[in-house]
Amino acid sequence: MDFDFDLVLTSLPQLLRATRVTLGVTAVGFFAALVVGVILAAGRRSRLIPARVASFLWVNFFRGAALYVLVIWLFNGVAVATGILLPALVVGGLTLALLNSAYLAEVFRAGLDAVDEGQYEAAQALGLRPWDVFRRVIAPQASRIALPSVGNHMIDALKDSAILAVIAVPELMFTTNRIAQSTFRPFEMYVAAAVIYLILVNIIAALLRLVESRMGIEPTLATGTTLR
Amino acid sequence: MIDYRLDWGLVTENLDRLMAGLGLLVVIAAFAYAVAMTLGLAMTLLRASRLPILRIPVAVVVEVLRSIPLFLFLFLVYYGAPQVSALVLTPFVAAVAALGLTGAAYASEIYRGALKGVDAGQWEAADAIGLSPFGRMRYVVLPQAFRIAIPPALNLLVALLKGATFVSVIGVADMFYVSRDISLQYFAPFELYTFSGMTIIAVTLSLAGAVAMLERRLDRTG
Repeated sequence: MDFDFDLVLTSLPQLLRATRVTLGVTAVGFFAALVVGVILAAGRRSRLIPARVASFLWVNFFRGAALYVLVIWLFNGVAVATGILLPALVVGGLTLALLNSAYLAEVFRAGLDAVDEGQYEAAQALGLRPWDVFRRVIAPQASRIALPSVGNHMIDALKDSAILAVIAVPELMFTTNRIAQSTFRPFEMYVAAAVIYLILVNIIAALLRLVESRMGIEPTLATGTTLR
Repeated sequence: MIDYRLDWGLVTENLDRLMAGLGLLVVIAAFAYAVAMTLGLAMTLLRASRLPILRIPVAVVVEVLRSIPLFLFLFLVYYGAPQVSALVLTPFVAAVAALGLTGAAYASEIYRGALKGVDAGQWEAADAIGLSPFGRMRYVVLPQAFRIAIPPALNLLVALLKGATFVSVIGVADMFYVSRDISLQYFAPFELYTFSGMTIIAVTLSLAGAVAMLERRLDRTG
């Protein structure tokens, strides 16, 4: 077996440019998912029944959906039927945001549930207003509990972004496919891409552990906990 | 802009092909699951070995498989393997292999977590009543570890089914391959992808729901 290392070296600039797209689309999609996830978690606790039902349906629909299915449906099905043709990059970011908002909503919900009931009562007894109860007492504790899972989902989102290659988002996987096909050296190219993903995942995991130790949280699993 | 008229008749006309494609997805996930659970157990045992030469390579493989996207690994297996070996895999075998190997890495973590979840006092108690190492495993540790492992192990099956949804990218004639095929012929991507998407979501959600129910039951009787 001969491993064409020169090919990897000559394609490295292209791969690194594509890695920037991977990181960009993951970051934007994940940030949007964080915002929507908080709204959904709040919706689940709302006094309004329609808000609770809507959050429940949203979360469970997108938790059941696989990224590939959703991205193909949006990009090929919905776009064609409605005539709204969005760029692949936008559809890709949107899909990552939709799926992860559901996962993160569950993480936030579990975080809120884990805060002791006595904390609410104590905050109220101190005479804090409902918003201050949440902001000064509940949120700081819930976010500490949720942080490790949020980090794991960030790693999962990064790995998921490889699927966006199917709608031609010029990210790492798509670029790797293109070079593999034109050079007839798939093995070298996929190994090179695997190494880049491996490095990215480990950097995120290391940063996460750093933040966790700064906050005095017990360090968690390094890599994704769900199969992606 | 073109006027897109919905034609759901295409879905009903091709229902048998679509359902056969769904069946293929389930079969791939099931085979991959069998590989994952068996190989994962072997990996766990090797990682518990006292010999570093057995322990370290397996730990590295598990870490790598859990860190790279399954989607990428599928391409590496299907297109990469024939380049560096005499192994030419059919899309079906490549899909089962990629899903099974990645699944094994996750399964190995599940087994490991379950063994760790059994209280240390149970191991000591088993020793104290004079059980052999095999008896300790067979009668004390494994029955308890098994119970801990059930919910995550079933969730792995759901994850494998979700992972199987993209095997059409290497040419497996699953439900999404059939959907694309019909869409290209009759230009009906919305109807076909909506149907196959909703179908797979319904399957994964009912499976996940059943797992959650079982989990609650185990918690109650636990």
